[in-house]
Amino acid sequence: MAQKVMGSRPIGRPIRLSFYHLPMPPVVIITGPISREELKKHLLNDVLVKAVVDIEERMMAIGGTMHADEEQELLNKGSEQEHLWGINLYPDDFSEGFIEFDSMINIRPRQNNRSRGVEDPFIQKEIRAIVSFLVP
Amino acid sequence: MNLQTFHPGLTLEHWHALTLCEQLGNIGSEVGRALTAKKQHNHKRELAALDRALELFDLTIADPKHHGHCRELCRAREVVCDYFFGDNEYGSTPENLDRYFMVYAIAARRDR
Repeated sequence: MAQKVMGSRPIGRPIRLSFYHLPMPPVVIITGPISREELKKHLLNDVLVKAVVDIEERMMAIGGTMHADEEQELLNKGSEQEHLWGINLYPDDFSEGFIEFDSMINIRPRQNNRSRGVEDPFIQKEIRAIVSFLVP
Repeated sequence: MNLQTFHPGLTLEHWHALTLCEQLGNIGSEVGRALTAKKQHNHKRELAALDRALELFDLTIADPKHHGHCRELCRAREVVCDYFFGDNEYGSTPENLDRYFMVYAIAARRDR
């Protein structure tokens, strides 16, 4: 029976673990406008760029394979966790869908945010404004 | 054979340093994105998110700290594949799939 194919990798084929020893790409902090082409250099499997936005310092970390790595980089640079929110950017999407509010780092019971989304519409608006400035 | 990775630069050491809750929480994020994309009929985003989810599943199953008790991980992977690529024999719904992973994600972030 033909195997069902998911993307380019048939389901169930063991992955080659030796591929997973390459160094991690550096996380980049964006403080001024960049083009969508520059953003695309950080694409994750050709579709999205994971980003963490600091709504207080109005900057954004990109280039990590996980939001947690970008969050850590911003924390190391002095950001406060309550101001950090994880999003995904789809550079080929020119609609509202360019920004997706979905990250594990957004689950923050202390701030009453109990989902991967950003539940406060005011914070969503802030994030949209910052991203629009950084990726016009 | 043209094999590729979907999280460039993600190392085994880095992934295996995470707790099971963090690993499953991250897998759940990708599954959640696939569910959202499926709802929006965005096939490209759905497949891309599933590629990432299954890659993280496989790296988790390969984690030595789960050896001997990774039956649930394999079953969870099977359930996800069954929902997106199979006949949904497990009767999964977007809600119960998301809920399953959210428990781990919340546990991983409970002190934040």
